[in-house]
Amino acid sequence: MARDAFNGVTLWKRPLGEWVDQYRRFRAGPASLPFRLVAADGKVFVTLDFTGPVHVLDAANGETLRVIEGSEKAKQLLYQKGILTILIDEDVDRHDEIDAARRRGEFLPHRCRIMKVHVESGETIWKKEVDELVFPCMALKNGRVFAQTPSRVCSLSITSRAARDGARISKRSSRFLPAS
Amino acid sequence: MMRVLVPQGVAYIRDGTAWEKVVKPRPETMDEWTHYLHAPDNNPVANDGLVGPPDSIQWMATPKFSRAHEQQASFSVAVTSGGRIFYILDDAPRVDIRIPAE
Repeated sequence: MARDAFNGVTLWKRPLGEWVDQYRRFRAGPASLPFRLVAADGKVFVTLDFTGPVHVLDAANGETLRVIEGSEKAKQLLYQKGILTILIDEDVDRHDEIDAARRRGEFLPHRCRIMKVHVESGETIWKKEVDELVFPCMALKNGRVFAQTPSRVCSLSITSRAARDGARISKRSSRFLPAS
Repeated sequence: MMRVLVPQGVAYIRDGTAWEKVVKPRPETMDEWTHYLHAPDNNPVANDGLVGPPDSIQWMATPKFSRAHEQQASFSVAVTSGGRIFYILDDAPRVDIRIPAE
């Protein structure tokens, strides 16, 4: 939904498809829901379905300007200066199986990837397969995307045409990294 | 005239038979909250020099109550940009959490 922030008037509504089911386990999130909506530069970026692709909407009227190809199962969106960075989790709809395994003390890996998209053209500039991510974790600053896996923190250059690895910040447990 | 306009608000002022369009500029010290955690760096702190403690209610909208606080609440997220607020809302009846999301 969109409202005028000054007077609260409803500007437009868009229906969502399948969202989080009502039988999800008690206090089990998912924590990714708040990261699926971004608004900037007269556009709204959102997944209109829990496992659907990312839609680029016109912020003024809610009409779809573009559907980002290959962005199904997106879990987190970041936008900056015409570039959309998308975190995709191929196993986002396997939460029953993953939750059950965790109750047994097992951690099933997620197959994740990060993709960089030029919003105006819809071009996917690069995709990068990544390890299972500690989620939600992706952040963007100073031209780099940072993400945390269970074993390390990694960075990718957001300014390059290829998914170049940046500095590998830690090879071991990176829960408490010094601020350097 | 500018006192009653919202930032980016527009006034048309009549001068004889002509209309002059006036747009109130947006203060440079007014920030936006474009992502769930403010900005793509996920640091949930605004760079706003105008915000302060609230002293009145500007407007109210439904829902008055959320569906749940232990399963999914009605609101998934809200962000703001360009004088608009955007949010994802589950508008299903609040009588029972087992009713599918709408």
